[in-house]
Amino acid sequence: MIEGQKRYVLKNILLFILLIAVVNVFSQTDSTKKIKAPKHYFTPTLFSDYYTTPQKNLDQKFRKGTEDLALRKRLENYQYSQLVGGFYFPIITKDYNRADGSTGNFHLLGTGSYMMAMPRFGGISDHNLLKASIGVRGIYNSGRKGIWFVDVTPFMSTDLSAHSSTVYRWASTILYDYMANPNLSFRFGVTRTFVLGNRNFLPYFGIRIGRLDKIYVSMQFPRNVTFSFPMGRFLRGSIYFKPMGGLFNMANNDSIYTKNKDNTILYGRYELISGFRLDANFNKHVSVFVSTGFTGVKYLSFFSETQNKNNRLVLNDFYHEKISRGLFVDIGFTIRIGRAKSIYNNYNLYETFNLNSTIDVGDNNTNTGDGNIPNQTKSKEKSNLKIKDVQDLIEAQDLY
Amino acid sequence: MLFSFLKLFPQGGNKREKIEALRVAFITQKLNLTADESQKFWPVYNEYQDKLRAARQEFRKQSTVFTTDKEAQDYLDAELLLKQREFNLYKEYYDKIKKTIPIKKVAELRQAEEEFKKELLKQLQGKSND
Repeated sequence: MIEGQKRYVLKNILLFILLIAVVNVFSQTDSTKKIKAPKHYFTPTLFSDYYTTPQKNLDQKFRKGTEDLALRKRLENYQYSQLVGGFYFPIITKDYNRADGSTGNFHLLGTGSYMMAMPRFGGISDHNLLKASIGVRGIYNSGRKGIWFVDVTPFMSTDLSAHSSTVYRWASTILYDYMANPNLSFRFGVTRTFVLGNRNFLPYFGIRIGRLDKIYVSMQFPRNVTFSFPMGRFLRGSIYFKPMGGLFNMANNDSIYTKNKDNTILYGRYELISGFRLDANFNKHVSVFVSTGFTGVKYLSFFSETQNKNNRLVLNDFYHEKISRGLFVDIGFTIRIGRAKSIYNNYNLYETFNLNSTIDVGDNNTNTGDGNIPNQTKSKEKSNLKIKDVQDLIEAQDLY
Repeated sequence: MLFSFLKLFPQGGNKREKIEALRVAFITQKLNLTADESQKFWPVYNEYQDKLRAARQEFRKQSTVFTTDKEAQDYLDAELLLKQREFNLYKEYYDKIKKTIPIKKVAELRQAEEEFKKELLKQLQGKSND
């Protein structure tokens, strides 16, 4: 009896759902059926970045605070390279058309990154340190003055070259962007980051002066200080300072740390680099960049996990080495897949894109660039209009 | 002169994107939008253009070779659908745009759009005469 009642209720629910679906289909006339315009402002985006610094001999002098002169001698010299690959893609985009005429939007992006850090020391074996992350970020653009940004990036770190433990950490940023006008914006927030070669909780403060599609100066602590300028329609140059760094699990197979029986230590690196970057945005889908300059402040550190077992804040190192200045080379590309909603002259969305590129996926402080923000320039080239270029803009009756 | 930029199309890249950018520049100059108007107007106008473009692109997928009466009928139906959609979008976004800029500027927008089309046509005509 009860089974029969259940079946009756289920049947009626199914009939009701079917009825709603049918009514819904037939209530749409052909002309009101949804037009398949792009859904998102962000497109699925892939990026890659290769960064390298030349080999440097380690300082052979003993300095106060560094206990292990013997280790320094063993390490001999140091060279660092890294390869980063990553992606982000829109999961949800929601527009809000308000009564006052403003349009806000919410963007939820899925993110992922893969980084291979390759520190090379003359006196010990080679290590290839993997850091991989999967995360999400939410951006709410009010369409007026404010933009909220939240990024959560859990990641794992392990040494692929030798047996080591894997550790799971997370980086995150929450900030508020106040765009006073297209020429001026401020950002305030907090960030949990590893780009300074340690585990840091830092305040975030940023100011930008100048329009993102023209010349601007942007100071984003602790991410970068940038002077950026268009060089024609497709190129953008920038002079910048920024930290590059990270904290990685590293196998202790070379017995770098001998006090405990740790099979894994932590390797931290930090460079404050200054350089010139040239971004070429061939079209809305493909951008490449090349950058070079000098590493200023540069150091590496080793940390013991057991030594820092009860430490929840900045880690204490057992070895710290300052590295002399040198050149660096950084090259990369960004590929944006598919069509996106138009953003012409929408400075709130320009700011949203810039936020997304400044706070990079994976907390490596690489930057995908702002290839989807069109440069405002005065072009002086010849016309080569074709019918197919303008057919969406012109009606047949316009021709007579 | 305002229209001189229409001769300035660069080689390579996505030309349609550039034409859209030029139209934006054209409209911006014609309407003389304030910062507040601009902030409200462009998101709505871009959305309107995206939907209009999508509707036209969908129509262009129709075959223009008619071997049967049904194919011809389908084509005419699709054209009618496009016109309906264009009208519906115009009506929908006319209301939305009215909330973002003064009504005088809405009227100027229509004029600016027409003027921009005419300039494009002049460019094409000049090219075909070459």
